[in-house]
Amino acid sequence: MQRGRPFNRQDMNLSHSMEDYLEAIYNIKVRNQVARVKDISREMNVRMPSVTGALKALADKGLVIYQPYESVELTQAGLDHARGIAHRHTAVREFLTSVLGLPEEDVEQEACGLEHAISPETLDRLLKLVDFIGAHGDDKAFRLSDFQSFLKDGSDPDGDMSADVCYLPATIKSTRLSELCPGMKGRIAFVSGRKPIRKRLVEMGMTSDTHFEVLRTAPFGDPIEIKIRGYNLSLRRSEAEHVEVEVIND
Amino acid sequence: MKNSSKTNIVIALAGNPNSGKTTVFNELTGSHQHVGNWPGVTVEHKEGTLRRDGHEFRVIDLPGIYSLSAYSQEEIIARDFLLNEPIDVIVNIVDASNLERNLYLTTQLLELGLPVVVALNMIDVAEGMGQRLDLDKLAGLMGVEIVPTVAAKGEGMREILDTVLKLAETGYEAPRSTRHNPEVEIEVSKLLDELPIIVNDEGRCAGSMPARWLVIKTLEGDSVARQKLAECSTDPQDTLNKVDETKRHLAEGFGDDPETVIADGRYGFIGGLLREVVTRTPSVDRIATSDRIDDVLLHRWLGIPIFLGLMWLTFKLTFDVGGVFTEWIEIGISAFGAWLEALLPAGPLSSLIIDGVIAGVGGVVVFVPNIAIIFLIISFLEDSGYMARAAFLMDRSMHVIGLHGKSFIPMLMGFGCNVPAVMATRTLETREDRLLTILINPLMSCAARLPIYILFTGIFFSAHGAMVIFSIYVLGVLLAVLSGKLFRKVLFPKAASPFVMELPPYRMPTLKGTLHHVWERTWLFLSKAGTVILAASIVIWALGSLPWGVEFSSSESLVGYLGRAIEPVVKPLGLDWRAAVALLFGIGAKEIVVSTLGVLYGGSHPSGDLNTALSESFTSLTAYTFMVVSLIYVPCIATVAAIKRETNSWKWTMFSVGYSIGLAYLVGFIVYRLGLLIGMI
Repeated sequence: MQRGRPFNRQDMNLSHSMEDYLEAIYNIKVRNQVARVKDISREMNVRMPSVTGALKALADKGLVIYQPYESVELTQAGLDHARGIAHRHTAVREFLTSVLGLPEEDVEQEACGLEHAISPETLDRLLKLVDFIGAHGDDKAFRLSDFQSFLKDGSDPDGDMSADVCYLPATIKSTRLSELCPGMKGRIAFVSGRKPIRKRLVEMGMTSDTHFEVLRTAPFGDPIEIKIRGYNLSLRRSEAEHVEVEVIND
Repeated sequence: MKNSSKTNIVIALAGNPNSGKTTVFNELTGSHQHVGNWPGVTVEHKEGTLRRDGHEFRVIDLPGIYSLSAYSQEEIIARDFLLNEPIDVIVNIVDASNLERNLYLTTQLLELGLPVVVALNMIDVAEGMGQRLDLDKLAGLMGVEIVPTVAAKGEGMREILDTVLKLAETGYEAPRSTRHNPEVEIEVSKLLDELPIIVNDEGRCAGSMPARWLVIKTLEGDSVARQKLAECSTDPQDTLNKVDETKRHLAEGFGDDPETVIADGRYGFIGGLLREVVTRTPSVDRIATSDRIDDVLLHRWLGIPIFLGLMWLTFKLTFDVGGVFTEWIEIGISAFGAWLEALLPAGPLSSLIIDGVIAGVGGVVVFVPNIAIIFLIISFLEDSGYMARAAFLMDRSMHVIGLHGKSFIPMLMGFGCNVPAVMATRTLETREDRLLTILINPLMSCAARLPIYILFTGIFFSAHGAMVIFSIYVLGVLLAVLSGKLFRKVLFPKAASPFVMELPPYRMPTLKGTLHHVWERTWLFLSKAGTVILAASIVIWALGSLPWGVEFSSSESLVGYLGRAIEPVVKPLGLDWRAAVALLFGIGAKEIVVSTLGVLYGGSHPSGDLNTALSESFTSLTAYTFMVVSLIYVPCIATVAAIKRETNSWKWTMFSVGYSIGLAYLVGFIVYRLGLLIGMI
């Protein structure tokens, strides 16, 4: 898995509020598979007409597919973008609570503001810092120099986060199946993408809310093997990219 | 469909891959089997018969499938057969240890409106995993007959037939169809009431398609079902409009496309069923054991070395152990030939039988040990579940040339012999992958070509022999990769097939099943390839012996004239007519190349010594060109016959022959001309 890939934040010139809408749609879809206007309005605490207006603007940018009275679909670009925003949000909130120790209930508002202002590079480092402290904190001494050399070449004196081991920041709660590492468990949120492959994935049992475990990746990193519905299924990363999952920590 | 006195009963076996379907088929029909291809496709068609209690059963083994959507060729074939052929009973083989996914197909079979017997196979494994199944309850909830079986031990086969007989004789109640989401059910019922379609008492449309199935499949976005539904309607436009309206309505209601909703619903139905009928007690999990084995066999660093080691072993066994038997067979054949020669008066008949038939057919029979051993191993790897792992390990590398991981083994086998290699492409799932793998397989330099390389390197490149031979092998692989990329781009532009593949739990293959498989393959090879080769060897013999009285395949024979006629064609490659004849005869079998060179060069040279003769007639450049051409052009009649059999198409067979000859000429020409340019002689 590529390490240190900045989260997609193409220069879309999206306003903060548009980003918030995208993020909300993504979060609702991960939770319920389907996002409707009323769900979005409830999630964001805004009135339905405002949601409709925002959806039209997002549709113009090619990020969502929206027809009145139907549920909202994210396009591939919209999905990638929304996922990036969601990841930023959780990273910032994690940093504020677990590193800076601010109380959970206070940070939500601030996180929402900060997440738009942060550059992808800063965000990426922030994520790593949160993880690094998580891996080295408490009983083990955290040294800033260790973290800096980790940033530089991925080396880690304790070996907890060595470069050749698959790495997914612990703060990430939902992402594509292809990003998960062996041993991780999750729940299928929804399957996106082209019709025939989507249909086959669903028919093989990857329906929403099904739980699974990533068993391993093949020696060259592709394909991957998961356990789902009591059997073992292998699929290529390019296919696993179509599967949006929620990470479950046990 | 009440059949009170049916004597001919047609059974279709349907089930997931790895459900033990083939084992059931073999147990039921024993040796009364016929193996062929489905018309016009590369998918295998197996049919068998058996008699019992005055009834004749015709059993059709449908391809292993996961669903009845028209996703793969196997699914289309199975579906068309189930819908269009007069089937009395579907026997659905279900892996009892993997019920959840296996029953997904069952839910679709139930909608076809045919009597279904569910054979809960490997019930012993399921029980060993601590699963207790309430079979009566399951049968009641699904509205089907359920028979527990252990096909590997032959248990439950009699009960399958009894149940089939009962259904066929006493008539049956249509199985209760899967219940979908309540909303979907309401819409489906509404459509069945409202659509202007003609439905008979059994719920079937014109053309015997079950109307409910057509409606559901059309909602699932199936274009074939959609067309059939329109056909059985009095007002096709109105029908399709109504269905589309419902689709939109469902999409709106669920916020998801109906096909996903319906698939979801099927799994939901199964989940509900299993909660009712399965009780689990903790015990040793077979799957956990299987996962532990995979921790080693699919290990990041060890996985590929272990796989390559196994392949090396396969190779050794096939050609070393096979070689021993081959020698015995050769001794037997030449003894038989000598005995016949003494028995028959010298003349055309004796020559035809000894030089033609025995030499030609004998040349095929010597492959039998290799083929038997290779299929013994392949069938063991396949049935044990390792083959899927091999594909998993190699997929990344094979994907580079647009191939599936499963293509690796046939390619590797090609270094031994292209005949079993081409036959081994059966494990590939899509037609495109199979054709592609078959087409580039002859470029893997088989063992029969090695004597040619050894002969020429011994004379011309003795200092760097191994290097030169290795370069020929590398050239073959390189051309295979390039041809693969080219074919994928031009002939099969559809992207490589997806790799959504099950890794079944490891299981011990049964001796009976493995031997059955070996016998089936070997016999196919002997019977089908044998006929083609017999004809070809007679032709070659005739060319070499006529006009009567000349020395066999000398310059005065027909083949000598032929050779001189084609000499201008091979001249640009720096080769003479004798080399051309050797290559021509080599189409019969690559071993013949060396022996023909012996007759044509050695025989005509004063010293009678082949090496001296060759060193005078060839230069190191023409020798290398000859080796390159031998590598690339048509491997042999046996391979061509195998390609015809496996592709089931003369068009692709001729394409393969034409491509290999064209490529051989092109590359040979380039090698020769480049050699001249850089001053080699």
